[in-house]
Amino acid sequence: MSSHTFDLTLGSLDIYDYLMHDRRADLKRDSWGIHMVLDESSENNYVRDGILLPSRRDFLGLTGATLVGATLLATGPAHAHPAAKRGGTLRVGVPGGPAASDTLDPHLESVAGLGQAYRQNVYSKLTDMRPDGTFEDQLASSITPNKDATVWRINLRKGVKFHDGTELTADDVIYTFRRILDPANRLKQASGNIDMVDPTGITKTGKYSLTVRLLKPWSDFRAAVGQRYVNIIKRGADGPWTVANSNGTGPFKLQAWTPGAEYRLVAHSAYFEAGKPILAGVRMIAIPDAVARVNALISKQVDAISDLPVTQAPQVRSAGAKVVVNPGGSWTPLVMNTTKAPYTDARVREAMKLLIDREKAVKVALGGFGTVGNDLFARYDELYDASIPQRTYDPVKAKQLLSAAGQLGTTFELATSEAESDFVPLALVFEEGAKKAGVKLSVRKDPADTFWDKTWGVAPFTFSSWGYRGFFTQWQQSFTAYNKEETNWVNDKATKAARLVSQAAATGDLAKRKELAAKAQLLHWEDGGYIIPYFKKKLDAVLPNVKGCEPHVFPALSWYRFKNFSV
Amino acid sequence: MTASSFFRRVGETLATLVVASIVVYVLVDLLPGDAASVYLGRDGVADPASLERLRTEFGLNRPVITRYLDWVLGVVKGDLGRSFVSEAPVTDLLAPRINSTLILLGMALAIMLPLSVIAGVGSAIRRGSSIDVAIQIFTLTVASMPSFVLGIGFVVVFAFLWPVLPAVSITLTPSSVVLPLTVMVLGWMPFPTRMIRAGVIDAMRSPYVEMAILKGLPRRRQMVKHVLPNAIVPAIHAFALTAASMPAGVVVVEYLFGFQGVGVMLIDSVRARDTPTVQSLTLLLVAFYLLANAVSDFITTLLTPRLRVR
Repeated sequence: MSSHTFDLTLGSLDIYDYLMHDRRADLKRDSWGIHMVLDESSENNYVRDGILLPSRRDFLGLTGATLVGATLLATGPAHAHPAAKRGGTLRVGVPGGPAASDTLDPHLESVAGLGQAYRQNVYSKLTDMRPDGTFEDQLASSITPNKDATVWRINLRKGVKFHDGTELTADDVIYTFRRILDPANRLKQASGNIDMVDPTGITKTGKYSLTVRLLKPWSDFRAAVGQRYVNIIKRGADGPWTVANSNGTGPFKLQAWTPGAEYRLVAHSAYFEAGKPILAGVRMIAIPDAVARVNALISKQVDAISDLPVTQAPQVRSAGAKVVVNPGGSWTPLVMNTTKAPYTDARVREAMKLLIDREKAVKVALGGFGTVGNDLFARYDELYDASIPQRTYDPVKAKQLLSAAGQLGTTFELATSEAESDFVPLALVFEEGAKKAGVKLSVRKDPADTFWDKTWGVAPFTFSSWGYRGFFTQWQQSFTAYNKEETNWVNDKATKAARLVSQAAATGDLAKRKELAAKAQLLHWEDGGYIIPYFKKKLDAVLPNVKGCEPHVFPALSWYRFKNFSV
Repeated sequence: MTASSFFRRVGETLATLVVASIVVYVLVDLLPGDAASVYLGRDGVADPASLERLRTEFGLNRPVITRYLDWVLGVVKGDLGRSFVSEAPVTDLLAPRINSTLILLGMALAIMLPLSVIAGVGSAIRRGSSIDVAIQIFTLTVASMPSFVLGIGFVVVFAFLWPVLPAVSITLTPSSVVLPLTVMVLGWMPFPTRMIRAGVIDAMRSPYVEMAILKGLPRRRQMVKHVLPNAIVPAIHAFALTAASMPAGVVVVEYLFGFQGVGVMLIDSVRARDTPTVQSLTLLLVAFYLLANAVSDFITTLLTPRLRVR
């Protein structure tokens, strides 16, 4: 039997909890502190007894870093925090993507990680998401609705300077909204965020104020304008976008850009928030491979990395770096198309929801870094209804429901893929639950690179993947905007629920809004096509000298709010 | 080599390149999904009409022959089109990556060539000695190890335990290329080394070397004049094959060290169904392969008198 030692000197670990709980690991104490010895005797290091084990490559990396742990720990205690130092450059390692997909257009999606971090730091929005998922004013000083939430009055912060030294005025906001909403510009992500805005109803009321008329009542407008692509640009700004004409109001200016590979930012000295940014600059580097990213961090070539795989967390901790565990905002639903047989039958849908062991799903697919879901989204929204009973694994009731629906002999097909790392393990957990109940299920594995074009939206029973969004935004994007075909929830109950949500969105009174949203959520919980087994915790890692990276519901690295970081 | 045989060889290489370009273009084109469906992602499924519009705009609906000819003419003129997303010229995106990879490959070759000649000849003339056995065991061990295992081992030793070199090659600096270069040289050196060793041993057994020994030629002269010119011919092909396979093999090394080169770009482009980039990069790899082979043929002919008269 071979074994592997994890260093636990840096505090409690979720991974430790369940490993110990399942008796797959033992504790060892020596001069370095407490270690956990994990059984590595199995040939198949994929998923064993509900534990996600390191793959062979991860394991090789792990072995390396455990050796290293001592070296880095010797350089000083990880939890000693000197006062935030001004200046310095933060070096960040993120996954990145193809050079040809990278663009500086602030209203377009570009490469994951790198592109989002760029937009978040060079530009500002009217509002921005706080670590808890609520929204704070950023360029706006106030955003207030009329009585039925159809007209919103926006007052802008005064004295905000663009990087070219000009002042932000209402004209810039109007120009930005019109650019985003013009269908000819094809800015689908950005326009999807604010598609409730009537493009002809945006009116300037003063140098720093404007009103926006909506096509429908929408009480969550402050969240809509804080979505990641709604970046405010200078009036008249347009492509082709270059380093020279990337002119935002964010805490950092773009200094150099290698598409898909690197962004260099320098502090914007006239940034509107007092005392921010603390850093003199940021260097954002694409490191596609997770092992290489971890190596770069523990050899101190970068100060912070995002998208740390669960299996690498002990390694990073043992090397003396900090693992930032972000609360579970993201979710991976199993999606049933409610207009395709046999999922047209609500009893079949409910049976499927009862066939997954959610606790086990968290352990197997997320290595314990997650919380159990209850087929409802927007976990951190104030409208989330936690009083709806938690659905649990219930094979008996599932079989009764299938029998009543006349589908007991049916072989169900679940289409999975490696498009997201947790799709396959989650499919296996579901398969196991179905098998135990005696329900026939075949799991089909489709190619990862064509999953979103050929499988998603086509297969009646498959997977999807979402980052955190608030209740109204998520409802709009899941059921009315561009992603509605994943469940196609359009029956009578769906119509009723949609009406309740519209009413809630038009209600100023929070208690009333909660009541309406709760009714809609119950309808969705009973009838909808989402199985939401869990919310994922996302991991980042930073060196001990990095401060200001607090956990955030939206990935990654504290939603890239580098203005709060110091090194 | 006569002028006509030289031109025939060049002509053959060009013809192969043309055939290869057709194969590359058609194969990449046959891959499921295209730039438009990837660009729209989920929306493409949601809205087939907008997918069609985008296909037309990207020119993906034109017949494959038209698109191929457009592409080939562009390649000849050095214009590989523009990125669908950022609208930047593809050549601008490719140039720095190709540059980085070529620097890495060039240095690896420059180190590998003399090193494998020295190791091959050294172990051949001391056949059976402890040096020979040591070189054999070392090259066999290294050759049988996947490059990522070797790479991670080096990172652990030289970046963590004895931190003298960077673990990840974020920028192209002298110290950052040491580890990737070492992995590449060690991974590719064994094959030519063993070919040279076998060639030298073969030549040393030949009647003409026996004659040279009997004539009483000094050892050095035997080697330089009679053994090496004959032993080096098969080795040149080994070098050519190794050099030709290097750009493909560099992918793993680039990924492992986070090196921004052609390999990582190729993987990213395949994922993004960025067909113009994939096609251009693949053609570049094919051209490199053909060039390496043509150069090795040329050198072989120069070194082998009996091939010259053909």
